[in-house]
Amino acid sequence: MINDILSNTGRFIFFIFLQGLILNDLNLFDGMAIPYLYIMFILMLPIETPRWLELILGFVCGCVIDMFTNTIGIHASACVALAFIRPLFLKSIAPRDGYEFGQKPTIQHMGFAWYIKYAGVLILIHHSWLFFIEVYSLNGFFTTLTRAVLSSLFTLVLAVLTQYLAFKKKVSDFA
Amino acid sequence: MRNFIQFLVKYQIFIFFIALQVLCFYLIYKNNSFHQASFVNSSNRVIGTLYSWKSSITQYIELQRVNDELSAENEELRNKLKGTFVNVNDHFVMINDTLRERKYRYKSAQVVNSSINKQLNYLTINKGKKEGLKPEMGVINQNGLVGVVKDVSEHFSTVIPIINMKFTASAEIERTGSFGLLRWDGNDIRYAKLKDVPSHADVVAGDTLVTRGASAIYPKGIFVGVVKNVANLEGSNFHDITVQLGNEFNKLRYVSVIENLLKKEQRQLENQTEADDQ
Repeated sequence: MINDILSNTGRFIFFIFLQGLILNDLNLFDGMAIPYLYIMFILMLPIETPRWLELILGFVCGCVIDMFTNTIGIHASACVALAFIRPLFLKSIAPRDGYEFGQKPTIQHMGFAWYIKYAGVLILIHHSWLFFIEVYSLNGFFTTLTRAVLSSLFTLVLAVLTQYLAFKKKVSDFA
Repeated sequence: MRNFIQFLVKYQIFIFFIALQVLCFYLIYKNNSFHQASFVNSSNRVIGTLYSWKSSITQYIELQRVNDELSAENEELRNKLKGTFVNVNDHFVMINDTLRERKYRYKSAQVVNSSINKQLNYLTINKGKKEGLKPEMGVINQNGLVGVVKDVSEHFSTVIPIINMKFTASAEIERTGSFGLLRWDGNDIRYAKLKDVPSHADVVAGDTLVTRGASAIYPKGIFVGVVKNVANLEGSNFHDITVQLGNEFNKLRYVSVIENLLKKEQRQLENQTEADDQ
């Protein structure tokens, strides 16, 4: 329990700094694809996190990123939406006999195919929400949609890489 | 009543979710009004300090280019020095020039953070209230117009650059004087649009676009960019003008903030005139 709190706090700080100081400057195709990897913090929360706590964490995480980008409310809104949808989605893609206690939503625990489905859908939902609120209109619907899809792919690739590089140690812990 | 409480208990998470969303949208809406004194932005102390650390590391990478720019500017300024000119006619000596009054004062600042990949891009600069900056001051550099100051804190300020969809400025074609509204369409950081120029106005690709100096934020005649393309939309009374911006917003390092010393007077007069109309 204490371990969970510590590791999640560490991850929170790590991803916020990574996003705020490095990834916000990174983009492909003239700003069409921007990675928002910080939502990995929400994606990696334990499966049994209480839903109210998850919503609050989403809000706080989004607000801090908003402070870096001067867009107060936009990331917060998208993160709250993500935090609301994640438990519902987790339930709908659960294995036949449910999740085991202590199982984490990572590649090491759940396998590659499961993770791509899990992260891909949630990242796409978050990014679409984010980009459509950012433009605040449905003008240029397809441009915004393209940005959301390309950015989602970018984030997903980075998310999978992070899983293999940064959290590799966990495999031996688990096995 | 019991049903209502049951309803609340059953949907408590959903209600909490909606409440947080309402809060978020309230914040977005509140931040939308121009230069709202919002305390949560990157001109606040913590984020501003973080960004200046980051900038102190990354600026080494750009030293070469910045040096080139500075020496080019030095050269240009040296060419304007009094010493480089010879008096052709020295019969007249001008003493105490009372015909002119200082109208603009410039203050140089360093960009410590900038975004270019969003629809609402902002810059953070390392001068603030302490150095006399106020919201709605113009920001330029040697390549032309940059933007306008939004919020100021003790040591930092945020700037709305041209490449922010909330930015507008009045600009005119230098050759003919016909003017329109400069806006960014959110697509490419190299180009902006000039709106509201009637289709009978004479505009061709290659025309120089400068500020009009109407809003008392920038002086008249600051370079903005060059007209790249003029299209005539069928059924529209206005030109669709694409402007290639003078500034490369992905390479901004040093800017000057302009203080208009006569702005208060101009605004007061304009407000009084408007008030008289009502």
